[in-house]
Amino acid sequence: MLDLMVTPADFVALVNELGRKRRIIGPVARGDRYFYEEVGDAARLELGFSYAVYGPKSFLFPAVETLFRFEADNGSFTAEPVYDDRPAAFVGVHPCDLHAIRLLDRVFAQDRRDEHYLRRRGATMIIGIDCARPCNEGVFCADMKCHQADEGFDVMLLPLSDGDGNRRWGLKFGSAAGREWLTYSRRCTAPTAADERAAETFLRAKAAAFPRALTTRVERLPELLERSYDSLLWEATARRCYSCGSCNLTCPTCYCFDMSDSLDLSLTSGVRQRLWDGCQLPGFALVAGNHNFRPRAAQRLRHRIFRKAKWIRERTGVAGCVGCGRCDRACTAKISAVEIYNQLAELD
Amino acid sequence: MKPKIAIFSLTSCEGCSLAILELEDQLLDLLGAVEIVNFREGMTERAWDIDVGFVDGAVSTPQDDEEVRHFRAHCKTLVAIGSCACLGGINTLKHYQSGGATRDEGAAHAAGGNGRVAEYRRYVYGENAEWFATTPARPISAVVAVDYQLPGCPMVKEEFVELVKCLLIGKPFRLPETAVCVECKRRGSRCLYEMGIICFGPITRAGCNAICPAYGSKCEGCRGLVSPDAIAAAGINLREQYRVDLNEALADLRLYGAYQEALLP
Amino acid sequence: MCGANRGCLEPVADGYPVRRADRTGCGAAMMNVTIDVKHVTRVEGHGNIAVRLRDGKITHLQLAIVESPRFFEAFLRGRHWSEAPHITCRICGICSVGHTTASVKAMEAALGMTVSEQTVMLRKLAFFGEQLQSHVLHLYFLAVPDFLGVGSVIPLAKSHPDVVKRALRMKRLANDVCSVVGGRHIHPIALHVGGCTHVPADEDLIDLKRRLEAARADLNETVSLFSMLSPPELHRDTEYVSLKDAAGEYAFYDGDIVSTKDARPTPVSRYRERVIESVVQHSAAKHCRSPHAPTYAVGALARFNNNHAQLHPAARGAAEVLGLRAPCDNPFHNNTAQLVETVHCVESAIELIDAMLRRGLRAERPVEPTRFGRGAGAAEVPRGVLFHEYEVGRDGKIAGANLIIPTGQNLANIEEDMRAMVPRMIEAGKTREEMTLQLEMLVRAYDPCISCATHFLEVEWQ
Repeated sequence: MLDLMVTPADFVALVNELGRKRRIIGPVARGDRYFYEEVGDAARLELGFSYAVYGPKSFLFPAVETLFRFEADNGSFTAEPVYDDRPAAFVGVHPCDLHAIRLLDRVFAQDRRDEHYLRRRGATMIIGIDCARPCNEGVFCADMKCHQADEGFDVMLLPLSDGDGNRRWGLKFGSAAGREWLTYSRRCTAPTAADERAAETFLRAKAAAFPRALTTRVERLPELLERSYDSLLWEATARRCYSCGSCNLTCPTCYCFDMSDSLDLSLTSGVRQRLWDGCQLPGFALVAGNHNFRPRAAQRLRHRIFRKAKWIRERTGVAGCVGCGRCDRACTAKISAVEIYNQLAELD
Repeated sequence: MKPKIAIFSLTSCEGCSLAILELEDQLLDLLGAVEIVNFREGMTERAWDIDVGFVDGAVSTPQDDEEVRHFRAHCKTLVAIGSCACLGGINTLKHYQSGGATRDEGAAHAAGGNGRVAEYRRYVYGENAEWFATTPARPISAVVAVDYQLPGCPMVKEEFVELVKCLLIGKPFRLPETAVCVECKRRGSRCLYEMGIICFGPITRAGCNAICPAYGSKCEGCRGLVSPDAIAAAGINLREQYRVDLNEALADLRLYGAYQEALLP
Repeated sequence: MCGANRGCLEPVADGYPVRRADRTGCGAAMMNVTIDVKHVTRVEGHGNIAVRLRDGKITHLQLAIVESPRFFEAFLRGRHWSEAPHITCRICGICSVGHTTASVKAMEAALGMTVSEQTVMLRKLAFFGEQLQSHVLHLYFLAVPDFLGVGSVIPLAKSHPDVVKRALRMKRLANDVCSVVGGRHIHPIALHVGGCTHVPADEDLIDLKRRLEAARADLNETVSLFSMLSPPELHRDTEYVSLKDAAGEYAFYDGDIVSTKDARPTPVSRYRERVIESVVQHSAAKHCRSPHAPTYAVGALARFNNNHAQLHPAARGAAEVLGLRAPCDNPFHNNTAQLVETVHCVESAIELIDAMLRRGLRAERPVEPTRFGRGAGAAEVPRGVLFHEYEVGRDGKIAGANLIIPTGQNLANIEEDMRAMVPRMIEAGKTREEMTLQLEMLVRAYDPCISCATHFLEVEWQ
């Protein structure tokens, strides 16, 4: 099951070697919270982190991103696209977030290809970290079948220990690039039979450590929602909704964006930027002529839940909600997606 | 022709005018794009042929009332800057002294109804209180027509620059219609509710880049309410989730936004 | 801009606001003169100068403060104690860090709180930032145009672009010092009663330090520029009042009350023994006297006169280059003292950042009140010593407040300076325009913050 083994210190050294050719992005502590940030020294990475406040989209699909610069002078107009395809290594992505990246990859590649995302993504190597237990209360990743990932990474780290209780990373390759990076490194060793047993123990313990919160099987959610379109629950829950968009903005699979042009005071040049948007914001579905397709909070709430548990899966074949629980934690009105699923099932 | 700009102050701390001087790096670019023709705090010359006039401060004295009408008459476009000019601002706190519970009652007290000098005037100026004229503090839109509003205490200088650019190229200018939470989340600040603090972020108009939560302090609503729906949700959440009485919480909104009571439940 | 108590007394002139100066007749021979400056410019707030001369004698002289009265002291009542700094900083956009500082200190005195050493360090750093911001603004934007013969800084952008860029660079640095600690300069966010809600990151402090060090070149240029300007000569026996920090620091954040006429320290809690307020009809800002003199001065020059020995050596060096020696009784040299303090603040901020980095900053829980009572606090804000005093009831609500603003303390003294100046100008054969300009320059030299105290000056010469 394992490809290689490495000590934590050697792993840091390996990442720093990689850092000569790639930017290193990973979890960094800010107070008692963690954010994905670029680091100059891999020793700053907090690989034992609970969870990053924002999922991997904060790096792959930044909150504010410049799409192109333009200049207009004396009737002429030129625009220069801005891409960020600097090689990067994204270290420390938990399985749920690997599932989220999988969705972003599909969305930005399907129909009209999004070069801004795809070029950055194409230049990024992903090093996942498996988690032994739920990172926080209220997660339902196991219900969504997103607490494990067998693909979507170049290398996956398993937090193991050797017979003497020393921490070791067990390494699994997920791509040729991952294999190429480490196969000939003298810092790694081949897994022993004891290491393999440790990995099996880890996976068994993990399977037992994740509680189930959802009363419906995830495969049944689309049908349940289909029957619940006119449920009274939407209004009853949305009366608490501030329409502040916090659930969207913290969601690792929300990929909607708005665009805005920003002009210099010279009025001859400027940039077009995109920034995170959210379907819970009142103006999200407002169109020319001042028509709003979803003027009511209840309509917007239903829309979000339908996308997360039904439409995205139907359209792309991958999970629209990975069960990380970030939306529930961000909601000051304490509206919970998993609670909504369970209440709908009860009312069904 | 560069548009002629003026910056005026009524009853205020003049922090919003000062914020224009604090554009720093952008100040020279601004001076390249517009001509400032009247700005008492920063220059001696004063002209009255004005394309865009920016006014900070509330209308809080008989003189303010006359002045703001004078500004309106001489400015093709009039912009209220800061919470005082847009929402009445901190000056309205005097209304709630000596028993004024609501905005209207408070305003009646502030005016010192029936020739009575309101108690708060005596508190500051003693027996000579009548020397110092005062009226209820009002946003300038209560006296004259206003074309644009840039709320905030102080106003957001980036938003000021944005409005100037929109005016220069004739693009419509709109305030954000979203709550402060949006910017707070984009910037990764810790939610004050996690620390058990009632923050006005969910009900307050964005545009400030959620600067107060970013520095560990609750949003005090200085940019005004984002929508009546948000206030309705606040009433339910504060009662059901946080056991706080909405009216008690909303008393804090009077700090900057007393003139929004029409939006309140 | 510290409009604690503002009033508008002067009626609005037709076609306000234009100068109502009598345009006929000028020159030394003129025996009847009216000077009437409505809304002195390049000061914060609205004030008018009114002077009337009859047969060469002053019959009327007034610095009228026509800023709106704002009633901060009254409307603080009933608000929660924790709101005091956030409400009172709205007295003044320029001095909002100063008001915040005096306010948190007064409230902590009233509530029996002692804040951490780290909190004091952070407040001091923000305070240096505000002194820098305010002094640079005043020196370059409000005062320098007079010396270069222009009406504002705007024409200087074309004629002296290097000077303007330097001023903007220094101002921006000053703003960023305040922002790193408090979130922003105008109405700081993170400075609360009991502590700070934000701790700057080391990277930010290191960056600030680098920029402060680089600013030394700009400071040297500024000192050279001002050493070439010659302020008018006006000497009048004046009492200069300021704080003095017995512990040895040049007093900004802490100290007892002293003056050039009475060096015995009076603790801030007994400030009423040294500052006696009165209401006058032509000023919405109250006037002040001391037990020793009917008027007195506060501000950079007062601090310099009382505390020059405690200046950073680099600032003492600048004072020497600028020819400023204590005791100095020429109010026009308040600008010079501001520049000396600017040097002091840059050097002290660098040292303070070093101390912070050595010690390491970490998030702290705010201190809680130990009692509800009465307390006063003071700070030497850019324009002089500022007092806040609060009484807090058992319900935690503010029951009473008194605020004494530096500009209010200076108003009567400015009038006395004008009284001394006018006869000399007449003797020297100045035209009315020249006299008006000099009177405005005098007012500006004090850097009045009229929103703080209330708005400007009407000069009427008759």
